[in-house]
Amino acid sequence: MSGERVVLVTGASRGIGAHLVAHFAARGDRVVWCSRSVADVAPGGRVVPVQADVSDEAAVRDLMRLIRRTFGRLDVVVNNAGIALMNPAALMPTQAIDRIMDVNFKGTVLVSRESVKLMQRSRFGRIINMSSVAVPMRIEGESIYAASKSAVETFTRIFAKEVYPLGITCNAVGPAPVNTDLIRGVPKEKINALVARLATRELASVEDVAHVVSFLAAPASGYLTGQVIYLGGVS
Amino acid sequence: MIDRAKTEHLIASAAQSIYEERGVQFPLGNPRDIQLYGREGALDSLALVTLIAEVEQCLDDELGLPLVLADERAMSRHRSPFRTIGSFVDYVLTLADEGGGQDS
Repeated sequence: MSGERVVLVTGASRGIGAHLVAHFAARGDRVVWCSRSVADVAPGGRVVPVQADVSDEAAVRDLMRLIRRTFGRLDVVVNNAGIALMNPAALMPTQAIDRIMDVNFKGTVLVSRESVKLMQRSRFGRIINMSSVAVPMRIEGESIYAASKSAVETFTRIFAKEVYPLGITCNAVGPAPVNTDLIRGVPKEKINALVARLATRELASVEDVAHVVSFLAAPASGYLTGQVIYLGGVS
Repeated sequence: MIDRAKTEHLIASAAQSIYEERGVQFPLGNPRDIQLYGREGALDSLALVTLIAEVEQCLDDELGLPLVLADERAMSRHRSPFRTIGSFVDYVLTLADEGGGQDS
């Protein structure tokens, strides 16, 4: 598994996801670019764009069918698709709660579940889920978002035990705030206050996130599973 | 109309591979009666995941039938439809007839 791998990145249209696509493609992997939005990458080369909503079960199954028929296998999945909305819980519309849970939690579960069906064939797989430092930092205004990521973390820890006998690992990465669209709507003073609580005292970069994801995706990381790794010195 | 014999062959082949992979002798006799999952079956829940994944993929690739086998109904039944090859085949035929469990 040291050569070309087949990597699926969800939430690939921008921010961390877009960087991860470029990172894996540059490494020589075949990358399935997956996003709800229309692909802004041309098919061909090392990247295969697929438009799909990860919270839609039929769409996820179609995505896996396409991967199976195109590549015959799947080696690495990065469940990066996610939405964030900062609001005091008392003011959070129900529809927004549903959408956050659907994309962040259910989407991660659906993609992981269906990926395992493909990965079990080769008895190898690396599933990397995106959490957030919002979970351990318990940030006001992010109760629903953090709760959805808490669910992702618990899922990661238990799913890791279930799929390890199939040669599949499952871990999570909790990035510190990264300067992407996800935090664009957050007031600057809130971000500054948040960064001041990090050991690193600065925003993370997409490269920082890619470094950890790459480590967890490596074949040599086979003994590492069920872990949540936070960036920025958060624990 | 989905072919019963083809479906049975497909499920039996997938089950046999999993038995062999686990170093378990695949039982002789009428394939319909071979126990898969449950008290008298040789497959644990992990092997069942593998079997269902393999059968779903083969049904789709070889018979053009994209079924969802581990659906709500299958998982909530008192008697698992995956307990024998026969009951597994019956379940696939029922889903195919109903167009149920089909996902797209």
